[in-house]
Amino acid sequence: MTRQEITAFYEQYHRRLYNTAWRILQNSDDAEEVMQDTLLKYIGRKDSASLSAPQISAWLSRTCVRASIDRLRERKRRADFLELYAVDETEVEEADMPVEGMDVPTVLKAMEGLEEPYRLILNLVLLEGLDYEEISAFTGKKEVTIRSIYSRGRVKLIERLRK
Amino acid sequence: MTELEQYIRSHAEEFDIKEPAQGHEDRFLARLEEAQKPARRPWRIVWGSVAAAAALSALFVVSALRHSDPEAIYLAYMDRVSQLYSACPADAGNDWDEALAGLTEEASPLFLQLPEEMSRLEKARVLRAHYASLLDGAKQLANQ
Repeated sequence: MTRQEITAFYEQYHRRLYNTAWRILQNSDDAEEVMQDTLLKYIGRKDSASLSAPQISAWLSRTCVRASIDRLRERKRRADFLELYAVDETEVEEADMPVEGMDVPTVLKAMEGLEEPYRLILNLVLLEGLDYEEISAFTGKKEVTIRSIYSRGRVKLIERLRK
Repeated sequence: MTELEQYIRSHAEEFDIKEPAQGHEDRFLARLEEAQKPARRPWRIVWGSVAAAAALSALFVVSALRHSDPEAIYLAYMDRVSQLYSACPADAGNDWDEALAGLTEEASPLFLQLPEEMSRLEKARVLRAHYASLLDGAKQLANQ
């Protein structure tokens, strides 16, 4: 990649990756570092020219999520990452609400206001498009735990949106 | 999927509202420059002997690829290849790098080519065998 290509590449992907990392880490400096690490890692790949745009996007996204979770885990090592949450793995009833008239800033504010395990898992499922199996692989937690956090988080999100 | 979930997913890009702090491009370019500086080759201090190389290589063929997640296997493989590059033996010159590249690099990684119909476990099995064989080749090289 030439310098010009790298700059264009950075311009194309930095915002998406920064937001992905920010939503997980909730810290600007950490998010920037993870975003840049991810892009530098990709630029350093010797096979980068052979990947299609969707493959690049998927690789960047997964690498950024993984790096962010690793950093979060490191930060929370003493607090037992995700361990304190969702000990109750029973199903909760599926909840929904009409979205007519809803806007993104309102939903975003409600999601950001959720407590950590719910915010993290809802972000990974809904905005990063990961499935429970992938999240389980990234976090090292059981799928059933992830599913439970997700369904409880969804209920909490709806409660916040109704307020 | 509920109406709310569908709404969030379909507007996902609009949730990317944050921008990194001012000067992030310059900080990135500085890091890029640093990363692109020719790597120092610690020829004489990294690997003391071919025996150490062989022992380590054997270890990572066994341990690095034991994941059951295809992506984790691929990433573990890439990590091991990176380690090999930084552990080139003394006085080997560029030939060693080129030989290692020939042995370990894929024009299009198998990781991305496996049919979607395959289960993750099947993919993991195929990838383990494939990347273990590539790493084994690298191990033979390290033994030279």
